[in-house]
Amino acid sequence: MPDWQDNDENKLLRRAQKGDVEAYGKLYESYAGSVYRFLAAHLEDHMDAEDLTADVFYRAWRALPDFDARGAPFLAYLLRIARNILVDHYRRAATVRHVELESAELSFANPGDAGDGLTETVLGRLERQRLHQVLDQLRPDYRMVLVLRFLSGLSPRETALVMRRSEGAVRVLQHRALAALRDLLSDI
Amino acid sequence: MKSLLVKKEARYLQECLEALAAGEDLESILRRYPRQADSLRRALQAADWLTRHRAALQPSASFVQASQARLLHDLRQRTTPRQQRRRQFAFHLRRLGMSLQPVVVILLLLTLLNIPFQLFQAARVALPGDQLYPLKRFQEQARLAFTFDPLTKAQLHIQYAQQRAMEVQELMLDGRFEHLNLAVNSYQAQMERTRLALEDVAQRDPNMAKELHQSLTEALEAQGLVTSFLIEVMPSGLRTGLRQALWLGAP
Repeated sequence: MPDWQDNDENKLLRRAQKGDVEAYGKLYESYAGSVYRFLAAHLEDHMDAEDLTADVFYRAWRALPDFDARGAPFLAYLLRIARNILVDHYRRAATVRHVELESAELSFANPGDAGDGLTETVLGRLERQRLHQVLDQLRPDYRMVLVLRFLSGLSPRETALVMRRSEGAVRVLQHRALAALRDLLSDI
Repeated sequence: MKSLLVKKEARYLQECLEALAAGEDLESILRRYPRQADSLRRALQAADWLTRHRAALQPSASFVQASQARLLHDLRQRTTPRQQRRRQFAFHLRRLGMSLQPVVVILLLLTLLNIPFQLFQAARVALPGDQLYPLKRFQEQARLAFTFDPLTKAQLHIQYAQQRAMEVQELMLDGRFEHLNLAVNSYQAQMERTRLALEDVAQRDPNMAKELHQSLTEALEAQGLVTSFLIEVMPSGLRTGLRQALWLGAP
């Protein structure tokens, strides 16, 4: 992230910490995508991912005055909240493992509003299902590190902050997770 | 050994990912790591597969817009001017706390460093039976251990002998008879050590030893007057024993 952008983010953060809703809206715009991708990579239902994305930003707003900008970058802070929310969500829905084939068929029948055209939406959903199919077979920590690094776009340092591990441990985990993913891809 | 190799390869992989992100060509990157090229290539292919699927998880623009609008609307509704003031106050309080952090740490360190100093100070007036008395004796032993000049050592022994005699007196005055035995024994032991130290000086400088002996005798005579007066007001059962013990200890 360039310095000027970093400074802008810090200014927005300070304003938001003091209760400036508009500044927080700008932060939302910057980070909603990364938070959503993180959640969507763990959840089959994109509606759940949308709801939980909003929850992350509500929870972050409440805790924002206590956020120390000198510690974790804001995205790592958001994704740490997202991770906790995801755990809560899993606990709540412990009995329901969402939808395999049945829901997939339903999704094709109701493509929703997520694309510019039907074909694109269907292709997008296929891609997404394939991604889930692969990620579901990985160990939870492998899945987490890959999602944070390659789908949410966090650096190894930021990933380490979210996962509460050292940067070196994250590099090793990433290495192993990519090897496991490669094996899965060659199997499919 | 194996874990070292894994760590090394994990580091190479990260370097490759960064080089790719910087726009370098895959083949030229892999040429830098000929021995690991195959496994790195496989890992990078997996990473590439994931990155290509990133778009599949992109939220729709309509969702981002609508949810942002909803969030802002909710937050404006929830944030009353009073809450806003409280939030600002909390923010400034936290910032103040953060800026004061180094000061607090320094004060804490000073306090922590000061505690041993105060303990040693308090130990100087401790008497036999007090919790800090062993610390007082430890200080004396430490000082003696780091004194290498026999003359200075003998002077210290004389000082400590006076100290032991005064401790006996203070215990008598306080009526703490239960610790008198320990104090008298310490006095006797100290007198023996002082005698040896004076002998050591006498071997090198008999005149100086004589002077020191003289000053010790004078000091103890003065102490002895007080002590003998105090013995008279002691319970009768203690008097004889004390007299014998204390006079036996005289040089």
